[in-house]
Amino acid sequence: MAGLKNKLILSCVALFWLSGAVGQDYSIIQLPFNSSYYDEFSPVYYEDGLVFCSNRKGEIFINYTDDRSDKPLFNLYYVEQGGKTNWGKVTILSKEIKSSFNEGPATFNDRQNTVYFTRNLNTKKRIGNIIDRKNKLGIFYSKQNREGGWGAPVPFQYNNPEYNLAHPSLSEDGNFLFFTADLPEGFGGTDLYVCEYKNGGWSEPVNLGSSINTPQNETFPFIHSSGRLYFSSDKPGGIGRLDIYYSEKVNNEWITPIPLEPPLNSRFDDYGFIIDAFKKNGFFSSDRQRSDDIYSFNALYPMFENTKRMELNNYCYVFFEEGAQNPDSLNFVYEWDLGDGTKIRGNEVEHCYNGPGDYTVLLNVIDRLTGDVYFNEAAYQVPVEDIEQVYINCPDTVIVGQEIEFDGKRTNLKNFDVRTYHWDMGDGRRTRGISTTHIYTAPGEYIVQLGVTSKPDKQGETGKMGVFKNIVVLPGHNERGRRE
Amino acid sequence: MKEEEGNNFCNRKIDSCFFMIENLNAMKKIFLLILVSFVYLNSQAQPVPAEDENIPHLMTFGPKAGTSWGDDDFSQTFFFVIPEEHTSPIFIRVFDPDVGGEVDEINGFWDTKVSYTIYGGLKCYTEQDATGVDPVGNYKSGNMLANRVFGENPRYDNDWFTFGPFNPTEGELVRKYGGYIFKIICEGVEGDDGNMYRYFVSTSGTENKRIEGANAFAYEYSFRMHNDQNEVSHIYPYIDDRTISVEQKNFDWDADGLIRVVSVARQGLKCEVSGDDTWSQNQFKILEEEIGTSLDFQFIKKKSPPVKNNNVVVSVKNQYGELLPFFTIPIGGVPKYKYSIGVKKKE
Repeated sequence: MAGLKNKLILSCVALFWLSGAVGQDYSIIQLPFNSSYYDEFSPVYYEDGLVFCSNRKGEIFINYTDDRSDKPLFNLYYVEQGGKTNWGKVTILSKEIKSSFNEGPATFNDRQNTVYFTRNLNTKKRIGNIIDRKNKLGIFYSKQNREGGWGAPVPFQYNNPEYNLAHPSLSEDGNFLFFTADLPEGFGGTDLYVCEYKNGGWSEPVNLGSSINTPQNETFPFIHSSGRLYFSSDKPGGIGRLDIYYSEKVNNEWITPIPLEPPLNSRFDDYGFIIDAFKKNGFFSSDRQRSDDIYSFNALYPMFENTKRMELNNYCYVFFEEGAQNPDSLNFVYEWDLGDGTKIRGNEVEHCYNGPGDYTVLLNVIDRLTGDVYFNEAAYQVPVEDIEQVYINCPDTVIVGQEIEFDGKRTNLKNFDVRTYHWDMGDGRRTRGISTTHIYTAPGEYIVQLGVTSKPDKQGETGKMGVFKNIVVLPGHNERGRRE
Repeated sequence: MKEEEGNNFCNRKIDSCFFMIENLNAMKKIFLLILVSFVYLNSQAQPVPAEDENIPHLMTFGPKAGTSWGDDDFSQTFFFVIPEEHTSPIFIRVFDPDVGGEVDEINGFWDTKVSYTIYGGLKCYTEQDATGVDPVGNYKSGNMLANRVFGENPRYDNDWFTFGPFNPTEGELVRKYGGYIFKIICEGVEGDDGNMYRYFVSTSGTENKRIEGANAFAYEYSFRMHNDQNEVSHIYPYIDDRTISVEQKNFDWDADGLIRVVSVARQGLKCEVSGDDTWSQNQFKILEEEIGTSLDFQFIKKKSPPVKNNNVVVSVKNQYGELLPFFTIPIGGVPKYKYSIGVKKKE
């Protein structure tokens, strides 16, 4: 009972990184259906809830246990989500899929009538099979029949009794199947591979390459509908053990993976990550509370809908005398006193001011025929203003690895008292503050978004406005040299 | 001296004039006020040429001079408008009325006489011949109030001669100008020299004192240009609401630079200019903004070679052939082209 109480307390961990410009705002919650002793991990969206793996005690008589953990083997379970924090009873996903051995991480197609999942290749009930370390993992798929039941699992054609294939993740269009494997031609440990479905079958597995894979373990891929690939790796440089990274394809190449910031990553194993279509809320697995558990996370970053492309402030004007097209004007020279110390002569002159301000433009006219100079023949008040918009001040083109300063100080909004600034750097990092710095780790074109919220009005309503702009990140000198 | 006084036919009915004005009814006064304000608010008479015209002298030659000297008809008519509410006597003064001395232009030797005749009363202005460019027909209409002939006379060389006093009501009451009009005709009587002179309508017989609200105008302007190339002279024809287009006509400009028209809506239209002893003219359309304002005819001398003692005659007609009056105090003020700054964002 005391353990349950502790778990309830720990399940409401809400962490806020609100300080300065570098904090990332997520709240994470240890989900209540986690068991205290057994493991739960690798959730995947299914129907109105989640399908996940667990080695929880599901039956009265346990056939086999893991000889190292002395815990039951893993099965796939389903739990329905009744509300934001309400979860239903955990049930076995399918008796048809369940074997006496391990069923692990799964993925569903878009219609959710086909499931790809991990399982031991040899599922015959023989004691030797469970203690046999050579009983490798493979990917199996099962199709749902008309009655709603799942058909007998079919092994993936590239399963190999010598190697492990696991953790399938199917793209939204169903044409790409990402998975983990320890195939011998990899970079070491487990690598991520992908098969493409074409001509009625799956192509040969393709290693995702050195941008993704390392001599360490890359595992638990999740391909997002946007094309962003999340996965975990225990490569050096992370916070600790398995960390969650993401990468995207730019010019048909995977960019250098970017780690998620705490609290999503921790010094423990963090993996089995999924996120919704808006990249706002999701789930992940972590053993940060001793056993593997599933956590939900919510981005505290406010949603800025209908952001507009930022317009460049234009301080350049053309001045002309309305009658200057008339031939009569040929005998006159116009001298423009542009109000900022600049004087230019000409019928029509162009001038760019340095910045906003109220400038009084005066027109002096010189009569070529009489030589008379008429001062201040006309005056014009030019209110040079920034466009009324949220403003992102940053370079347009930068280099990979270059620390870039971003600020929203030139935001110009009337009747909008800005309270908070929220940055989306376009590469997955979100932060807040009127100014920030950022380093892009991969070349490409990124969309940087800055959203602002206003102080609450008398009714307690807060306003939101936002803009975005593109920033081009060029390869670093070394990188460019390599490509050339 | 005797001749000067004897020829001054001034009608002194000042008292009766005052009586008449006092009996104007209220409606008349209101109407009068409107017209006066139409003619020119706060104008004060009246040197002729006026300061804004920057014309050194009016010019009339003796009849035996060739027109190549610059005078096409040896006669110049000016009208003075005295506001109806002005009740005190007026004087018409002439500067350098004689023909001789340092101001006038000699042609061989001084042998010229010119007459100055002042007219008032009915038809002095409203007679059609009185407002033409040529001294023909009944242009000497109205009651002759005073006349004086001058030859070479050092007494009045570079000095003033005064006609008057006149009772303002001795002029012809013309409602559209809101006052009484006097006409003065300067004509060459004998000889071939050039008479250069100026007028001043004054409240005083001994000095030039302006009459508030008074004005002067002519339909043909004969004047002497400055010798200084940097000086620009002006005349100001008034454009009424009947005017659609105008024709300017100038005589004997001697191609001394150019004539340019400026208005509230016109930055500087160049006009055709005449050569020696020739006429030249051109037409141009009146812009909507110019209605009810004056045009500024600018006479800009060329820088070289310098032209000395240039005399010129100018008139302006509307599309009906009606002459437009040149007011020495331009109605609506000296027209000034209204510059307007256009601004657009550079794309």
